[in-house]
Amino acid sequence: MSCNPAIGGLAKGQMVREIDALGGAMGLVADETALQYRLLNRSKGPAVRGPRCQSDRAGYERAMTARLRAAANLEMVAGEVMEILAVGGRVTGVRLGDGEELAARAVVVTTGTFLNGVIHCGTEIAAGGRFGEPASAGLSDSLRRLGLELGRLKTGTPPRLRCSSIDFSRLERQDGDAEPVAFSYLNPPPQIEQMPCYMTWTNEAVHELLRRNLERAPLYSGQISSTGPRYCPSIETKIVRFAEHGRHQVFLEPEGRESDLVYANGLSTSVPRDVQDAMVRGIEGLEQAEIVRYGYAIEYDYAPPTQLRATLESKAVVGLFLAGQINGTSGYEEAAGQGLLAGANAALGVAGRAWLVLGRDQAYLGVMIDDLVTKGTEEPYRMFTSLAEYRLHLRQDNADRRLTRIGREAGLVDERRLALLEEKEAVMGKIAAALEGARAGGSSLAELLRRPEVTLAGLAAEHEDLARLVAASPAAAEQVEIEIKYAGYLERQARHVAKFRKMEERGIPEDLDYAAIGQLRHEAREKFSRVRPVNLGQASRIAGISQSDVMVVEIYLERRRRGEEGMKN
Amino acid sequence: MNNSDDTIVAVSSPLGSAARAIVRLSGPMALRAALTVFQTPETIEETATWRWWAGTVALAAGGTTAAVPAALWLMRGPRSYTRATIVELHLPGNAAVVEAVVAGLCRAGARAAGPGEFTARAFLNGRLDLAQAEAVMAVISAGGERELAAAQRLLEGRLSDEVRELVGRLRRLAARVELAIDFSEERLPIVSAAEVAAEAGAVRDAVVGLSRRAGQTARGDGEVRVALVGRPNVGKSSLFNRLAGAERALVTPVAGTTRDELRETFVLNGSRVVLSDTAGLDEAVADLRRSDEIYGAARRRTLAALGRADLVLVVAEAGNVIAEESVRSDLGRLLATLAAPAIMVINKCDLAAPDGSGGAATQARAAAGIIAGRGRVVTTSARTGEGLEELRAAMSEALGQGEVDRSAEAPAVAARHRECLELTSEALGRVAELAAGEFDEELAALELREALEALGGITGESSREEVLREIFAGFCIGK
Repeated sequence: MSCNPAIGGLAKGQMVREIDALGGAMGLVADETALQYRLLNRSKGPAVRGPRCQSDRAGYERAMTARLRAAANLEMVAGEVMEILAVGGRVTGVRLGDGEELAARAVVVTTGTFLNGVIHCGTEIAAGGRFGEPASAGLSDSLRRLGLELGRLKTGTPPRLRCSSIDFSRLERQDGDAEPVAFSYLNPPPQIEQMPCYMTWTNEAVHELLRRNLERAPLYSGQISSTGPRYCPSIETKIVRFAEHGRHQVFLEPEGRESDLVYANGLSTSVPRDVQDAMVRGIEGLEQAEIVRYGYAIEYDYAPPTQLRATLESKAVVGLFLAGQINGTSGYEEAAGQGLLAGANAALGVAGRAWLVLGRDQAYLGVMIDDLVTKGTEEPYRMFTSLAEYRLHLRQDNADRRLTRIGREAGLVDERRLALLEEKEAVMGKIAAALEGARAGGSSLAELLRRPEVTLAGLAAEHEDLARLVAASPAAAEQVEIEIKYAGYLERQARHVAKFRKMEERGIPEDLDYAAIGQLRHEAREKFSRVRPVNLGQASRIAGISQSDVMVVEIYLERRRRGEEGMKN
Repeated sequence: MNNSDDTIVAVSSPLGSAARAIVRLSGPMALRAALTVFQTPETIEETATWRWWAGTVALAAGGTTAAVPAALWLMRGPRSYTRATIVELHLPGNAAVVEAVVAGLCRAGARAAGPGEFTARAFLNGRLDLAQAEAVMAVISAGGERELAAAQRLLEGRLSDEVRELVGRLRRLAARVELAIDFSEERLPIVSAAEVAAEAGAVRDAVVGLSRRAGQTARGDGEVRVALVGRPNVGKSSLFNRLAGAERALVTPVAGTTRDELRETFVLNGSRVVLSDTAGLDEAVADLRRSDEIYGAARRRTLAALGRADLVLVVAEAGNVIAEESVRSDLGRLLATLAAPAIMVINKCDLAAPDGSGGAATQARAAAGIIAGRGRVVTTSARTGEGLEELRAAMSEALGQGEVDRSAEAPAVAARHRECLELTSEALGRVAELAAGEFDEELAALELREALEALGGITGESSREEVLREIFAGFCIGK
C-alpha cells in the first residue's frame, strides 16, 4: 500500500469481491486488517453499491506476506531484476542485480511506480520507486530491447500527519457502518471495533498560499510533463482548474491501530516542503499538525497495454506477462485483479491449459482488461461503474455466482469456497420456491415482492418458513430479492449480453494479414494490425472502427475458411 | 454491433419510383414482424414459400387509419437470397407509406440494415460463391463510405447541429446522474429527480420534433439527381429537353429553384430522376485557378449542384471536345473530387466530320481520357435524337451501380435515423417515468445510456468515455 490506507470503494469494491470469488487473497487480507467498513451507495440501487474499508497499512503488509510465506509450492527470492531473458521471442528467465539468473518459462512483471521512477517534491528531484525506496533502473531498457514500447505516467500522494498533533474535536467525524459486511464471501459479518475517519476543508487563505507558490510547484513550473489521473488531481490542480470553489474536502484517515500516522486524503501535492507545512497549518483542526512524511509526485514508465493479449501476455514475447501500473492502471484493486489473472495465465500457459479470460459481461476485471488491451490508456486507468455496459449484472453481491466456478475450473478456487457457493444457491432456490408457493391476497409472494413498497424482510415477518430461510443465508435472501425486483431490467440486459456474446465468439485468427484485405480502409487496416483483435466483438470496440470495417473482415474470414475447405476436399 | 441473426429491414427498390416500393426483411423474425403491419384475409400456411398474398397495410394519418393496398412475398429459408427467411412488402411508391411501414417493422423488432448487409448475409450463408467475395467486400466498403456521404447529406446544416447539441445535453445529463453514482462520496451537488425529469422531457420533445423533420428530409431525398455540365453552345439545353421531354407524359414538373439552375423531373427505369442543367463548366472549373470574388456565387451553386448529384453528365461538342489542355486537366480534377459517376456526352455528332482528326473515334478517346474511368462516353445528337437511347441505357446502368444498396441508400439512411430517434425518445420516456416515480439513479443511468447510444448512432459518436470526460471537466473530483 503506497497510497491511501483503504481497500475497495465504488467499482473497486466490486472488483475486490470478484478477486475474492476467484480465490484471490485481497478480500481476506482486507477483512483481516480492516479498521472501518462502509458500504458506499447503500441507499442506491444494488448494482452500484461498493464495499470499502480503511486498512491497517502495516498490518495489511504483514498479513499478505504471511499468506505468501504459508503458500505451498511458492519460493520467494528477493532481488532486483535487471533483465528479462528471452530466446527466440520466448521468455527463459530473469537476471538479477547480482548477476544470478533465475530460469522460468513464464515471468509476470509488476513494477508499480518503480520503473524508472522519479520523485518530485518541490524543486527536489530524486530517482525512487516510492518514498525511501530506490527505483528500478535497468528493466526499462530490457523491456525495450524485447520490443516493448514504453510511455510515461504520473501520480501523486498527500502528506502523512502525526495523529497526536491533530485537533479532532472541531472536525466532522465519519464512522463505519453499524452492520458491517465482510469483503470475502468466506467471512461472516465482521466483529471489529471500528475506528473513525474525520473530515476537514481547505479554505481561501490556503488556496491563496498555493496560488502564490505555483511557480514552485513541479506540475506548473514545467518540471513534470507526463499525464496524471483526472480523477485524482493534486490540490494545486484543483485550485487552478476549479478556481471558483472556495474550499475542498480533506479526509483524515487512520493508518493503523498502532500507528500514529494519518493520511490526509485530498491533499495530494508536490509543492515544496515549506509550502506543504504552511498549507497544512492553514487548515481547520491541523493548526498544530506535524507532517511526518511530505507529499510528492512520481513519474514512472509504463507499457501501453494494447501491446498485450487479453491474457495479459505480451504479444512480443511468449511467456512475458505484465500486470498493474506497468499497464497504465492505478489503484490496488485494479492491480490485484490483473496480478491474479496474469499469474493464473502464466501458470495455465506453462501447464498447457485453457486461458482464463473474463468477458465484459462477466466481471469488472473483464471490462478493465478489455479496455486496456483494446483501447489502451493515456492516463492512469481507474475503474468506474459507468465503464461497464452490463452494470446491473456486475454486482458486488453476485460476484461469487459469476466467477467462483470459473475460478474452480482454472484451479484457483478450493473446495470450501465452492461448497459455500453451492450452499448459498441451494438456499436461494428454496427462498424462490417459498416465494412462488405462498400466496397472499390472490398473488404469490414473488409477485408482491415486485412492488417497490414490499420487501423480503417484510414478507418474512409474516411467513415463518421464509423467515427461517432468510436467517439461514442473508446473502442468498438479498440476491433473490434483487433478482425479483429488477427482473425486467435484468432480462433486458441478458438480451443485450446474448447479442454481445455472439460477436465475442466469432474468432479472428491471430496471423490474419490485414494488409492483404484490399477493401479495408487504410485507417482500419492500421488499427486492426496494431490491436490484433481476437474476435469480431473486440474488433468493433477499437476506437474509429466502423460497422462496415468489421463486416469486411467477417466476409474475408468466411472467404478464407471456404478457400481452406476447398483445398482439403 | 450487428448480429447476423437479427432481423434486418431495408427499402430495396428506388424510393420515389412511380410504380412501387419494396420493403425487404431478412431473418428469423421477418414474417412475424411483417404481419404486424400487413393484413390479409387469406391464410398464410406454415409451409408456404415463394408465394405472395394480397392485402393491406394500415396507415395512421391525422387521427384516422387508412388501409393501403399491398402485397406480401414470402421466401422461406434456406431457399432464399440470404438463406434466412425473406419477406418483401410491395407497396405503392409513396415515401410516407414506406416510412410508416419501415418504422412499424422496426418497432416489431427488425433493425434497419447496414450498408451491404443483405449481400453480406447472402455470402456468409453460402448463397454467393467464393469468387464473389471481393465484390461483396467492395459493396460493403463502398456502401459504408456512401452511407457516410448520404448521412452527411441528410444531416446537412441545422439538423446535424441539432443532433449534436442534443447529444451534448444528454451527455451532460448522464454525467450528472453518473456523478451521483460513481462519485457519491465527493459531496457534490446531486441531481434531483425533478431536474432529470425536466431535462429528459425537454430533450425528448426536441427529438420527436427532429424525427418529424427527418421524415420530411427523406421525402425530398427519394429521388435520383443528375446534373448536366458543359460549356455554352454545346447543345446542353436541347439535350436537357430531349431527356426530360421524351418522358414528359409521365412527369410532374418541378419548378426551377434559381435562374441559374433549370430542373426537370422524369422517370427513368422506374426511378424518379431530377435533371438539373447547372451553370456552365467554366464556372465549375474556374475555382481551381481563379479567385473567389469573380466567380463566387455562381461557382458555389454549380459545385453544390455537382456535389449533390448522383450522376454527372459532362457535355461536349463533337469536333471540339474540349480544346484547351488546362480546362481538360481541371475538369479531370473536379470529377475526381466528386463521389458520383460521370458520363461524357459528345453531342452534335450529326455535325462532325465522319473521319479524320476531328473524327468520332479520336474524340471519344480524348473524352475517355478526361473522365478517366469514372464512366462511359456516349455520342449523341440532341437534334436528331441519335444516341439518346444509348445515353438513357448508360444512365440507367450508372445509376444502378451497387443495385439494391445504391438505390435504397438515402431512404435506408433516413430509416435508420428515424429508428435511432425513436429509440432515443422511448428511452427518454422511460427516464422521465422513472424520475416521476421511485427515482433510481442506476436505472435512469441505464436508460440514458440507451438514449445516448441510439442518438449517437446518427452521428456515429460513442459516449462512454465522453460522459466521464464531462464529469471530470465539470466537477472537481478526487479526494
